[in-house]
Amino acid sequence: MIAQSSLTVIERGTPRAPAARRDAETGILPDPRDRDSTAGEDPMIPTLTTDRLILRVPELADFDAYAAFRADAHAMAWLGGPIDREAAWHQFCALLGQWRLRGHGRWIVTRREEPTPRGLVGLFEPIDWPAVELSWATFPGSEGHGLAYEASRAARRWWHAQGKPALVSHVAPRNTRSVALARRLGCTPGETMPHPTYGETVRWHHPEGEAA
Amino acid sequence: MTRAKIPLIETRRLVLRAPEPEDYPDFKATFASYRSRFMGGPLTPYEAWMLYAAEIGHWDIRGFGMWMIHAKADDRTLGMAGGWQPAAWPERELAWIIWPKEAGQGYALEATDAVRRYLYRTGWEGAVSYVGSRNLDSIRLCERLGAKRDPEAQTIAGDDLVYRHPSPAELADTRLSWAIAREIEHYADPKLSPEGMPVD
Repeated sequence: MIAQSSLTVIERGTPRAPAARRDAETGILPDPRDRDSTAGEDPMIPTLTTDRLILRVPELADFDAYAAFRADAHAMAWLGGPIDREAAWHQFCALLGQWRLRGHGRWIVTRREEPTPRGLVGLFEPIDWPAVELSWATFPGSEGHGLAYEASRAARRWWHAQGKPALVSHVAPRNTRSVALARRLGCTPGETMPHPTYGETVRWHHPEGEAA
Repeated sequence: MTRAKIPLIETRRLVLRAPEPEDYPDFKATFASYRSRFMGGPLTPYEAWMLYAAEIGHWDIRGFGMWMIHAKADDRTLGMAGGWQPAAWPERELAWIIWPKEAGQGYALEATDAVRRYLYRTGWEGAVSYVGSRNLDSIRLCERLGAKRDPEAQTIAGDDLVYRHPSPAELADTRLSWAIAREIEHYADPKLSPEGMPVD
């Protein structure tokens, strides 16, 4: 019989139940391809820390903050416009799924001293994407402190520590704050791309590598 | 956070496993087709990718989710079945989709029956299925699974039907579970396969 814990929302550090044997009636047995570890840190999604910030795996408790961000007309002005809570739910689940599909993805950004979600930063590569993208967003009320810059640097450093190629970022031309951040991150503007949800965007090319 | 464990479930003809990147093309083909009209489709390639990622991430966020259904004989994928609960869902749902070219073989019945028994053994005390009022194949499947229309239950969008599945007690060792098992056997055994209108 499969342990009860496998069906509840897994909390950080929850000890794993012993491997289940095949259940005679239901035919259930553990998936040999399961990438699960026995306990502790998610093996696929590392936690990054910077001077002020923690970049960690998204959790159910972050969903309200995420949905509020996606519903905010100002924050979403250059990101395709606000979306409702139900649409935000699928995107939120997709944050985790993209880690499982690609081996990279986006982190929830918090300040080191308290767990409030402040933003969403990391790698983004939907199907048929021209290159791996570095994506950043600061949640409403947390703008103006350089959090997206600091988190983006950390994400880029993690990416290049694995020897991966240069990143791009797609930014709407009138999204002046993100254009400024792209420049601050050392990016140079390139070709335009019609983004599936943002409309016309400029592809910003990040420098090769990231100094530690 | 550790990764939600996605168990493997075997039935007579099927293996249900975690959705994997290599299973994506079949998912995309179905969600780009008319077949997905009762599930928010057809979707663009970008939307289909994001939904597939969401199907996988749902396991991490909720601790349960949708399995990929494979044919035991050749490992090809046939569809998906499992537990599903987006933000706006009033209750936890038993959900399924079968690829269009695999319909009519009883795969949805066999997979959903196994998933329901698994979820009931691991703590679920009931489930509903939200079905589009014109989705006749799924309405029939609800009825074959012993689910009954619950007109009092809260719907998602007002125009969907809520089918309430029998509770674990109503299912255990009853005539209903016996009948479901016989129907699955009949699909699996060519000598006994039912004739007439094919259903999922």
